[in-house]
Amino acid sequence: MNKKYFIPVGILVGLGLILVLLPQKKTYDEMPAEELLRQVASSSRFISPDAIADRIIKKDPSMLLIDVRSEDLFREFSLPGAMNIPIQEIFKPEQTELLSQEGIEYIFFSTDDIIADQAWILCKRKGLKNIYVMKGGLNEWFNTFFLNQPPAETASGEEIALYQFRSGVRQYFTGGVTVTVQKPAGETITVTTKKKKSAAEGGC
Amino acid sequence: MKELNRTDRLTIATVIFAIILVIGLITLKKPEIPYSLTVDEMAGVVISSTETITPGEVIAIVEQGNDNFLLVDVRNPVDYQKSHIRQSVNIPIHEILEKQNLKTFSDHAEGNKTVILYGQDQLQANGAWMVLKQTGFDNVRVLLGGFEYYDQTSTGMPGSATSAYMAEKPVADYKAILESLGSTTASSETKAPEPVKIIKKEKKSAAEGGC
Repeated sequence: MNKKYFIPVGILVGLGLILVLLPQKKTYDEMPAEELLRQVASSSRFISPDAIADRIIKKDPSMLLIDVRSEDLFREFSLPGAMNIPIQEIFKPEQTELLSQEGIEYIFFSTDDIIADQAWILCKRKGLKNIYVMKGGLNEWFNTFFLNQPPAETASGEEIALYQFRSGVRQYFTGGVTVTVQKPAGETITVTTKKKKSAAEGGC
Repeated sequence: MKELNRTDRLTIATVIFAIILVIGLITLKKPEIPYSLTVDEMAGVVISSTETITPGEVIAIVEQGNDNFLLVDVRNPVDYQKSHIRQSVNIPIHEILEKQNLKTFSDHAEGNKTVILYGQDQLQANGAWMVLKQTGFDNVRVLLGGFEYYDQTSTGMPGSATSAYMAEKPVADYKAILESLGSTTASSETKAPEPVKIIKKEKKSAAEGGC
């Protein structure tokens, strides 16, 4: 082996070792605090219950609802198609992986929007994209679709249309729309075959 | 001679490479404001929710003129000008990480004083609190219900004894609502569909003929 290569090789191997031994700085791949604050101050992460209901009814495959409340509350009641990831479990590797699929919009919700928003902030810091928060949470959901009052007679057409949409959503989620028509007993429909006219009858 | 030149060049290249690497490591961009809590630690803090203060407590603080607390309004200057809690200072949410503001917070932390954040609603101050908490400020608390609720209670509109300001409390028993709706739709008598009438067409007699 040629001696003249010893020095350069020695330097490079030494540098390599230093790089390996350097402490891993995990925080560097997270969103800096200043950027996080900028995201927090903007309100583009909020989606209204109306928009979400519309997407549930249309069976939008690119949306996944994430219930960040506890498992008990989730079992008692949740939104149709929602998945339960309690906020303290959101950073388990398998959950984080699930939340970072391409082409899916994740919408966090809780009873109000405080806990969902906290989960959102933490996930944003971790660098997750395509995450949103349901404005007002389940409380707003119920106020919108279940405790809503009919508009006044003087209301504009838009308000009335909105009320009708919301009533429709309520029916959709309570199963009010599925009216089954029962066949009346007895009464059988008899099919009478029309006799063919004989040739003698003639036409015009 | 030719051999020696080659070695030199090789050494020079290696040294330059090494220098670039070292410079890169030294100037590696560090975040100006580092996080002091990991996301997992923060997720733990979030649920304990001891970092809040009730409107009643704040009303008492304002009345006493207690200077162990600093009230910070994180709304925009326009809203602050219109009305704000007495003794509060205005730091819009997007400015809370600016140097002089961070200094204010850390000065209060050193003096064992508490910073109370409030926004229009609780959600607005909550975001600011999350950021400050994660960057290491333990002396920051959030006003429950936000300015909206405080404004009503301090002027005596709804009873301040109620807990209406508590966020994350269901407004109604969802399950009960759904069951009641489900049962009403089930018990309401559905009209039996009318039997289908079949009108039999009378057959024309042969004599009737055509046109």
